[in-house]
Amino acid sequence: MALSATSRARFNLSEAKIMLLDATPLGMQVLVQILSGFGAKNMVRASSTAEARDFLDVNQFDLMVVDTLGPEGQGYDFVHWLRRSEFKMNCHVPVLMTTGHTRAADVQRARDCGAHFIIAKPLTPIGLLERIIWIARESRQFVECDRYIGPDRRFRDIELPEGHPRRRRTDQILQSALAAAAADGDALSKVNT
Amino acid sequence: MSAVRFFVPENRLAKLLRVPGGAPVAEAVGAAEAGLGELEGPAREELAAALAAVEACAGRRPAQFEAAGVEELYGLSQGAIGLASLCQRPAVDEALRSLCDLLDNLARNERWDAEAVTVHVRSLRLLMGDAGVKDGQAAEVVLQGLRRVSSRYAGTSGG
Repeated sequence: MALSATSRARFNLSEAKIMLLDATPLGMQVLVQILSGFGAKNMVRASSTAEARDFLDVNQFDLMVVDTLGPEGQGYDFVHWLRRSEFKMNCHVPVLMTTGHTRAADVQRARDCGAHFIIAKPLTPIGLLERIIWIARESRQFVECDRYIGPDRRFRDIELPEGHPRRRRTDQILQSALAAAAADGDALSKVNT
Repeated sequence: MSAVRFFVPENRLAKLLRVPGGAPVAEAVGAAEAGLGELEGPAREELAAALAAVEACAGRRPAQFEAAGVEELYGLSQGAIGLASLCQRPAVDEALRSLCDLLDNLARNERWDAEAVTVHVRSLRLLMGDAGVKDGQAAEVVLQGLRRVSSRYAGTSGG
């Protein structure tokens, strides 16, 4: 995912509509300064999940940057709700989450809420841009089942064991196994390791 | 087993990023860093207030475990993470992260260790540069010590 801070590659965020959700004024300013530096011009700022929900009615967003919102982690709940919501023009939007610290008990909650990435603070411009560009390049498929709705969390193509050449039939079996794993959060985490 | 649906939603962001114009990565990152530089003053003020609140809260804790107090201290510490890096004091953010790990471990195990908390809180001031330790090898030694302390309760339970 590494992106060089000296790269001359161009990107254009000027027409993207971005929702920022952060309860602290300085936290919001950090997001605004970074994204303004990236050329973003169309940012909608929400300081609570209630305010953010109101914005979903009347805006089609291209990206959301959502803070976990303190120890209670209301940001996770917001993204979890968003993925299951009836706001069809926004429920699949790319979501980056920011957090100061994730409690051990919240790791699974963070993994399962349906965000594309969770970024630890302090935020750096290059770190945030890497993830924005990665999301845009990858076009990750979504998984929808009883226990999870969100981007496919598998980052690696799982190779077949040695001595098992890749064939269409074998690939179908592997795909079925992955689908079963996707329906079971615990199993999926094992596949990922 | 329930049904699983895979699909690829429209990626509007990808299309927009490719619209002609925009800026090179280097220029955009430079502009963003310059923007963050403007926040150093406000961040320094907010950090000073946050550290004072952490110290006061830690000082109020009774000798025994008290869930609400640990939660309050955790919230204050977690909320301060990120401010110090805006003031060129990244080691303070690391120390706050270690304090959050410690408090999370203590809360999970319903235990309290005033000395472990105190050493973290005092280190925050040290790493702010008040005693000349704000970065480099000396700061790393302090941080390694803090991580050892916070990991002491990572695997314990009960009691």
